[in-house]
Amino acid sequence: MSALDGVELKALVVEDNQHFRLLISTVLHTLGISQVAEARDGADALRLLQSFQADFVIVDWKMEPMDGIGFAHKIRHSPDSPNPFLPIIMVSGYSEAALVAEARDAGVNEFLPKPISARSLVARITAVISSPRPFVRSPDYFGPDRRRAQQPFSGHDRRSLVAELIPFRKLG
Amino acid sequence: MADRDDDLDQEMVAKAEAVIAGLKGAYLDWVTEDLRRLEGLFAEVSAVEPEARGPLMPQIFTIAHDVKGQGGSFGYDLMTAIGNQLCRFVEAREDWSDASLALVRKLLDAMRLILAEGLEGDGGAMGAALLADLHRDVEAAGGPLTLT
Repeated sequence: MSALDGVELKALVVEDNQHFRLLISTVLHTLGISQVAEARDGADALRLLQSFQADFVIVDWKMEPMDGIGFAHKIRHSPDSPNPFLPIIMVSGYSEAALVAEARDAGVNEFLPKPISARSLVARITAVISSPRPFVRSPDYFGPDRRRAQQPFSGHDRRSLVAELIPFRKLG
Repeated sequence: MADRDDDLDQEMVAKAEAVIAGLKGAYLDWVTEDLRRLEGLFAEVSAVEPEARGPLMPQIFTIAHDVKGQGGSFGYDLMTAIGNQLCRFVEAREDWSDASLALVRKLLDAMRLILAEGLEGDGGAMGAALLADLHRDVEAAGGPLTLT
Protein backbone atom coordinates (compact mmCIF):
# COMPACT_ATOMS: atom_id res chain seq x y z
CA MET A 1 0.00 0.00 0.00
CA SER A 2 1.28 3.45 -0.88
CA ALA A 3 2.31 5.79 1.90
CA LEU A 4 -0.06 8.34 0.33
CA ASP A 5 -3.02 6.00 -0.19
CA GLY A 6 -6.28 7.31 1.15
CA VAL A 7 -4.84 10.79 1.71
CA GLU A 8 -6.19 13.72 -0.31
CA LEU A 9 -3.16 15.90 -0.79
CA LYS A 10 -2.60 19.28 -2.37
CA ALA A 11 0.86 20.34 -3.46
CA LEU A 12 2.38 23.58 -4.69
CA VAL A 13 5.38 23.60 -7.05
CA VAL A 14 7.37 26.85 -7.06
CA GLU A 15 9.97 26.97 -9.82
CA ASP A 16 10.98 29.52 -12.44
CA ASN A 17 12.00 26.92 -15.02
CA GLN A 18 8.88 25.75 -16.82
CA HIS A 19 10.42 22.42 -17.80
CA PHE A 20 11.35 21.53 -14.24
CA ARG A 21 7.90 22.67 -13.08
CA LEU A 22 6.31 20.33 -15.59
CA LEU A 23 8.57 17.43 -14.52
CA ILE A 24 7.72 17.78 -10.83
CA SER A 25 4.01 18.40 -11.39
CA THR A 26 3.70 15.40 -13.71
CA VAL A 27 5.34 13.11 -11.17
CA LEU A 28 3.13 14.43 -8.37
CA HIS A 29 -0.03 13.80 -10.40
CA THR A 30 1.18 10.27 -11.14
CA LEU A 31 1.74 9.65 -7.43
CA GLY A 32 -1.92 10.46 -6.81
CA ILE A 33 -1.60 14.01 -5.52
CA SER A 34 -5.07 15.23 -6.39
CA GLN A 35 -4.35 18.94 -6.79
CA VAL A 36 -1.04 20.43 -7.90
CA ALA A 37 -0.71 24.19 -8.26
CA GLU A 38 2.25 26.00 -9.81
CA ALA A 39 3.95 29.31 -9.10
CA ARG A 40 6.92 31.03 -10.75
CA ASP A 41 8.64 32.50 -7.68
CA GLY A 42 8.24 32.95 -3.94
CA ALA A 43 6.05 36.05 -4.15
CA ASP A 44 3.76 34.38 -6.69
CA ALA A 45 3.54 31.36 -4.37
CA LEU A 46 2.62 33.47 -1.33
CA ARG A 47 -0.22 35.08 -3.28
CA LEU A 48 -1.46 31.69 -4.45
CA LEU A 49 -1.36 30.23 -0.93
CA GLN A 50 -3.91 32.80 0.22
CA SER A 51 -6.55 30.72 -1.59
CA PHE A 52 -4.86 27.33 -2.07
CA GLN A 53 -4.30 25.29 1.11
CA ALA A 54 -1.28 23.22 0.12
CA ASP A 55 -0.25 20.24 2.24
CA PHE A 56 3.35 20.67 1.15
CA VAL A 57 5.44 22.86 -1.12
CA ILE A 58 8.31 21.98 -3.44
CA VAL A 59 10.27 25.18 -3.99
CA ASP A 60 13.37 26.03 -6.01
CA TRP A 61 16.16 28.05 -4.41
CA LYS A 62 17.21 30.56 -7.06
CA MET A 63 14.29 32.59 -8.36
CA GLU A 64 13.44 36.24 -8.84
CA PRO A 65 12.10 38.43 -7.43
CA MET A 66 11.67 36.22 -4.32
CA ASP A 67 13.85 33.13 -3.98
CA GLY A 68 13.14 29.96 -2.04
CA ILE A 69 14.93 31.10 1.12
CA GLY A 70 12.91 34.32 1.19
CA PHE A 71 9.76 32.28 0.69
CA ALA A 72 10.64 29.97 3.59
CA HIS A 73 11.31 32.97 5.86
CA LYS A 74 7.92 34.47 4.99
CA ILE A 75 6.10 31.19 5.57
CA ARG A 76 7.74 30.58 8.95
CA HIS A 77 7.83 34.13 10.33
CA SER A 78 5.43 36.51 8.60
CA PRO A 79 2.26 37.52 10.47
CA ASP A 80 0.50 37.07 7.12
CA SER A 81 1.77 33.52 6.65
CA PRO A 82 -1.00 31.18 5.47
CA ASN A 83 0.51 28.31 7.49
CA PRO A 84 3.77 28.64 9.48
CA PHE A 85 3.94 24.83 9.71
CA LEU A 86 3.72 24.25 5.95
CA PRO A 87 6.15 21.45 4.98
CA ILE A 88 8.78 22.85 2.58
CA ILE A 89 10.94 20.72 0.29
CA MET A 90 13.68 22.81 -1.32
CA VAL A 91 15.20 21.75 -4.63
CA SER A 92 18.41 23.23 -5.91
CA GLY A 93 21.35 22.69 -8.19
CA TYR A 94 23.46 24.19 -5.42
CA SER A 95 24.19 21.51 -2.85
CA GLU A 96 27.25 22.82 -1.00
CA ALA A 97 27.09 22.15 2.74
CA ALA A 98 26.92 25.84 3.68
CA LEU A 99 23.93 26.40 1.38
CA VAL A 100 22.13 23.33 2.69
CA ALA A 101 22.69 24.67 6.21
CA GLU A 102 21.26 28.04 5.17
CA ALA A 103 18.13 26.30 3.89
CA ARG A 104 17.85 24.29 7.10
CA ASP A 105 18.19 27.44 9.21
CA ALA A 106 15.47 29.13 7.14
CA GLY A 107 13.08 26.40 8.29
CA VAL A 108 13.15 24.14 5.24
CA ASN A 109 12.05 20.58 6.04
CA GLU A 110 13.91 18.67 3.34
CA PHE A 111 16.59 19.47 0.78
CA LEU A 112 16.47 17.83 -2.66
CA PRO A 113 19.52 18.32 -4.90
CA LYS A 114 19.16 18.54 -8.67
CA PRO A 115 19.18 16.52 -10.79
CA ILE A 116 16.36 14.81 -8.96
CA SER A 117 15.58 11.11 -9.21
CA ALA A 118 12.27 9.35 -8.71
CA ARG A 119 13.65 7.80 -5.54
CA SER A 120 14.94 11.06 -4.05
CA LEU A 121 11.66 12.87 -4.75
CA VAL A 122 9.49 10.10 -3.29
CA ALA A 123 11.78 9.95 -0.24
CA ARG A 124 11.35 13.68 0.51
CA ILE A 125 7.57 13.59 0.03
CA THR A 126 7.31 10.52 2.24
CA ALA A 127 9.42 12.23 4.89
CA VAL A 128 7.25 15.35 5.14
CA ILE A 129 3.90 13.55 4.88
CA SER A 130 4.45 10.28 6.75
CA SER A 131 7.16 11.19 9.25
CA PRO A 132 6.93 14.93 9.95
CA ARG A 133 9.36 16.21 12.57
CA PRO A 134 8.06 18.32 15.46
CA PHE A 135 8.63 22.05 15.22
CA VAL A 136 10.92 24.06 17.43
CA ARG A 137 10.42 27.64 18.51
CA SER A 138 13.45 29.38 20.03
CA PRO A 139 14.60 33.00 20.15
CA ASP A 140 16.50 32.65 16.88
CA TYR A 141 14.75 29.81 15.06
CA PHE A 142 11.31 28.57 14.14
CA GLY A 143 10.87 25.49 11.99
CA PRO A 144 11.17 21.71 11.93
CA ASP A 145 13.50 20.25 14.54
CA ARG A 146 16.99 20.39 13.05
CA ARG A 147 18.01 17.36 15.10
CA ARG A 148 16.80 14.52 12.93
CA ALA A 149 17.70 11.74 15.34
CA GLN A 150 16.42 11.93 18.91
CA GLN A 151 19.47 10.50 20.66
CA PRO A 152 20.37 10.42 24.35
CA PHE A 153 22.32 13.53 25.32
CA SER A 154 24.43 13.57 28.48
CA GLY A 155 25.62 17.19 28.42
CA HIS A 156 23.87 20.46 29.23
CA ASP A 157 20.89 20.61 26.86
CA ARG A 158 20.68 24.32 26.03
CA ARG A 159 17.56 23.74 23.97
CA SER A 160 15.54 22.67 27.00
CA LEU A 161 15.95 26.19 28.40
CA VAL A 162 15.33 28.33 25.35
CA ALA A 163 13.24 26.32 22.90
CA GLU A 164 9.76 24.90 22.75
CA LEU A 165 9.05 21.66 20.90
CA ILE A 166 5.73 21.90 19.11
CA PRO A 167 3.91 18.87 17.69
CA PHE A 168 3.57 19.05 13.93
CA ARG A 169 0.56 21.08 12.69
CA LYS A 170 -0.36 22.63 16.02
CA LEU A 171 -1.19 26.15 14.87
CA GLY A 172 -0.62 29.24 16.93
CA MET B 1 14.59 10.43 6.34
CA ALA B 2 13.14 7.46 4.48
CA ASP B 3 15.61 7.09 1.65
CA ARG B 4 16.83 3.54 2.11
CA ASP B 5 15.33 0.97 -0.21
CA ASP B 6 13.46 -0.82 2.58
CA ASP B 7 11.92 2.41 3.88
CA LEU B 8 10.41 3.57 0.60
CA ASP B 9 7.19 2.61 -1.09
CA GLN B 10 8.57 0.77 -4.10
CA GLU B 11 5.30 1.09 -6.01
CA MET B 12 5.48 4.86 -5.74
CA VAL B 13 9.13 4.86 -6.81
CA ALA B 14 8.32 2.67 -9.83
CA LYS B 15 5.45 4.97 -10.86
CA ALA B 16 7.67 8.03 -10.58
CA GLU B 17 10.50 6.34 -12.52
CA ALA B 18 8.07 5.38 -15.28
CA VAL B 19 6.67 8.87 -15.68
CA ILE B 20 10.14 10.45 -15.72
CA ALA B 21 11.26 7.91 -18.34
CA GLY B 22 8.18 8.83 -20.36
CA LEU B 23 9.32 12.47 -20.40
CA LYS B 24 12.72 11.68 -21.93
CA GLY B 25 11.57 12.76 -25.41
CA ALA B 26 10.38 16.06 -24.01
CA TYR B 27 13.68 16.47 -22.15
CA LEU B 28 15.62 16.11 -25.41
CA ASP B 29 13.53 18.95 -26.85
CA TRP B 30 14.18 21.06 -23.75
CA VAL B 31 17.94 20.57 -23.75
CA THR B 32 18.08 21.16 -27.51
CA GLU B 33 16.39 24.51 -26.94
CA ASP B 34 18.79 25.26 -24.06
CA LEU B 35 21.74 24.56 -26.36
CA ARG B 36 20.26 26.77 -29.06
CA ARG B 37 20.03 29.61 -26.54
CA LEU B 38 23.58 28.94 -25.34
CA GLU B 39 24.85 29.09 -28.92
CA GLY B 40 23.04 32.40 -29.44
CA LEU B 41 24.60 33.86 -26.31
CA PHE B 42 28.01 32.51 -27.26
CA ALA B 43 27.78 34.24 -30.64
CA GLU B 44 26.77 37.45 -28.88
CA VAL B 45 29.67 37.21 -26.43
CA SER B 46 32.17 36.38 -29.15
CA ALA B 47 31.17 39.44 -31.16
CA VAL B 48 32.18 41.97 -28.50
CA GLU B 49 35.51 43.01 -27.04
CA PRO B 50 36.82 40.95 -24.07
CA GLU B 51 36.09 43.71 -21.54
CA ALA B 52 32.42 43.79 -22.59
CA ARG B 53 31.92 40.03 -22.24
CA GLY B 54 31.67 39.68 -18.45
CA PRO B 55 28.17 41.19 -18.04
CA LEU B 56 26.78 38.66 -20.55
CA MET B 57 28.21 35.59 -18.83
CA PRO B 58 25.55 35.27 -16.07
CA GLN B 59 23.01 34.45 -18.80
CA ILE B 60 25.23 31.60 -19.96
CA PHE B 61 25.60 30.47 -16.34
CA THR B 62 21.83 30.40 -15.82
CA ILE B 63 21.16 28.18 -18.83
CA ALA B 64 24.14 25.94 -18.06
CA HIS B 65 22.75 25.57 -14.55
CA ASP B 66 19.42 24.37 -15.98
CA VAL B 67 21.27 21.88 -18.20
CA LYS B 68 23.19 20.64 -15.16
CA GLY B 69 20.01 20.31 -13.10
CA GLN B 70 18.02 18.26 -15.61
CA GLY B 71 20.31 15.85 -17.45
CA GLY B 72 20.78 13.31 -14.68
CA SER B 73 17.03 13.03 -14.08
CA PHE B 74 16.65 11.57 -17.56
CA GLY B 75 19.76 9.40 -17.63
CA TYR B 76 22.01 12.01 -19.24
CA ASP B 77 24.57 12.15 -16.43
CA LEU B 78 27.34 13.27 -18.75
CA MET B 79 25.23 16.29 -19.77
CA THR B 80 24.86 17.18 -16.08
CA ALA B 81 28.64 16.81 -15.60
CA ILE B 82 29.49 19.09 -18.54
CA GLY B 83 26.81 21.60 -17.50
CA ASN B 84 28.36 21.66 -14.05
CA GLN B 85 31.82 22.27 -15.49
CA LEU B 86 30.52 25.15 -17.58
CA CYS B 87 28.92 26.67 -14.45
CA ARG B 88 32.13 26.28 -12.43
CA PHE B 89 34.22 27.77 -15.24
CA VAL B 90 31.94 30.78 -15.74
CA GLU B 91 31.74 31.58 -12.03
CA ALA B 92 35.51 31.24 -11.52
CA ARG B 93 36.64 33.37 -14.47
CA GLU B 94 37.06 37.11 -14.39
CA ASP B 95 38.98 37.59 -17.60
CA TRP B 96 37.04 36.72 -20.73
CA SER B 97 39.84 36.57 -23.22
CA ASP B 98 39.53 34.64 -26.46
CA ALA B 99 41.35 31.75 -24.74
CA SER B 100 38.67 31.60 -22.04
CA LEU B 101 35.95 31.66 -24.67
CA ALA B 102 37.68 28.82 -26.50
CA LEU B 103 37.14 26.58 -23.49
CA VAL B 104 33.47 27.57 -23.33
CA ARG B 105 33.30 26.60 -27.00
CA LYS B 106 34.77 23.17 -26.14
CA LEU B 107 32.19 22.61 -23.42
CA LEU B 108 29.34 23.60 -25.74
CA ASP B 109 30.72 21.26 -28.39
CA ALA B 110 30.80 18.48 -25.79
CA MET B 111 27.12 19.07 -25.03
CA ARG B 112 26.28 18.95 -28.73
CA LEU B 113 28.19 15.70 -29.10
CA ILE B 114 26.31 14.13 -26.16
CA LEU B 115 23.03 14.95 -27.88
CA ALA B 116 24.14 13.98 -31.37
CA GLU B 117 25.46 10.62 -30.22
CA GLY B 118 22.78 9.99 -27.63
CA LEU B 119 25.40 9.51 -24.91
CA GLU B 120 23.35 8.42 -21.91
CA GLY B 121 24.79 7.61 -18.50
CA ASP B 122 28.55 8.20 -18.39
CA GLY B 123 28.72 7.92 -22.17
CA GLY B 124 30.84 4.76 -22.18
CA ALA B 125 34.12 4.83 -24.10
CA MET B 126 33.11 7.92 -26.08
CA GLY B 127 32.17 9.75 -22.88
CA ALA B 128 35.51 8.82 -21.28
CA ALA B 129 37.37 10.05 -24.37
CA LEU B 130 35.37 13.28 -24.31
CA LEU B 131 36.26 13.95 -20.67
CA ALA B 132 39.94 13.09 -21.27
CA ASP B 133 39.99 15.57 -24.15
CA LEU B 134 38.45 18.25 -21.95
CA HIS B 135 41.02 17.50 -19.24
CA ARG B 136 43.80 18.32 -21.68
CA ASP B 137 42.10 21.53 -22.77
CA VAL B 138 41.50 22.63 -19.20
CA GLU B 139 45.12 22.00 -18.26
CA ALA B 140 46.23 23.96 -21.30
CA ALA B 141 43.96 26.82 -20.21
CA GLY B 142 45.40 26.73 -16.70
CA GLY B 143 42.33 25.31 -14.96
CA PRO B 144 40.51 25.61 -12.63
CA LEU B 145 38.04 22.89 -13.60
CA THR B 146 38.00 19.46 -12.07
CA LEU B 147 36.50 17.07 -14.55
CA THR B 148 35.33 13.76 -13.16
